[in-house]
Amino acid sequence: MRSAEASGFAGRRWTRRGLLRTAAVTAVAVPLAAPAIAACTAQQPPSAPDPLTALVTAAESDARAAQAAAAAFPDNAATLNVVASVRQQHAAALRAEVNRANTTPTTSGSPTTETTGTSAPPAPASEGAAMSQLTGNLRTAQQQAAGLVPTLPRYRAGLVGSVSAGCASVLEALGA
Amino acid sequence: MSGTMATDTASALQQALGTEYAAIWVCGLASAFAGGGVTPELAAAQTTHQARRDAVQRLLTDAGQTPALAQPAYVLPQPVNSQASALAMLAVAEADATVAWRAVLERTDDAGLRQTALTALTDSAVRETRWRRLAGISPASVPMPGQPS
Repeated sequence: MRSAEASGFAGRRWTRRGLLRTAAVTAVAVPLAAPAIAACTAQQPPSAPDPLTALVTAAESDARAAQAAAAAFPDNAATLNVVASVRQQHAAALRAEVNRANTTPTTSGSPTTETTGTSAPPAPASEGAAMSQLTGNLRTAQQQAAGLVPTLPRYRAGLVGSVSAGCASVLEALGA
Repeated sequence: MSGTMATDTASALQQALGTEYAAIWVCGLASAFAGGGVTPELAAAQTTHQARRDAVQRLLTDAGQTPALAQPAYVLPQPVNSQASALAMLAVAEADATVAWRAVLERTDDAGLRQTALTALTDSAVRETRWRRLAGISPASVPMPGQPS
């Protein structure tokens, strides 16, 4: 423990010196690069959809399906409402990140907002069918999120990792 | 392999190692209060955390870092004197691990290490849910495991 701290401290001095050097170079580089960056962002918005948008859509869809199932099968409503709540929280957290990343001063109307009043999915024929559909969707959502984790920027990797683990947690709670 | 590791990555891994040590210790403590169907679950949890401890120690050593040492004992936020309180403590230990492993995800760009961290985050989230369910904590599920509160 102590030796780890000692080597960490020595490393930090080097890092700080390195940082100062980097800062000096950056101060020169930024004015040259800034116009190019501004030009890029001005042209880019329509071309690349945010990879998290698909996760938002899936979470919203799962939440609606769980709510519909809770209404159709009151005996299991408590469990199904927990599933709906978890997926709503996923949708909200992901949507906040999509909006944060895609809100630029020049564009308006692009941030996604909560979709309300979208047609409810058809009610499943039985409680068993509803549960197996929900657990199937949760497994897909867990994998979909996990698949993005290796390539996302750091903050997003943590967020999407938590969403994936949250789906696994709900599946465990359902005994699935 | 002797490589290098960024300071923030190494620090996050040391934190994760610390939560693995704590989880192993809590599994040992809980075994005194576990009975029936809990015992095999507890043994599986202990084996998993020990394997993860060994893997993290190896990762750190290979990167030229000195793995932090385990504490001889830990201060419990609540007394453990029954199976229910032992299960609740196990859930807390897993929750601590999820926070540490999510932090690793946020402090590395290495795809392999991210996979390791995601696997650990997911496994601890599932175990946390299982302990909560067995302890009768409702809801048992955790919406965003590892998200610092």
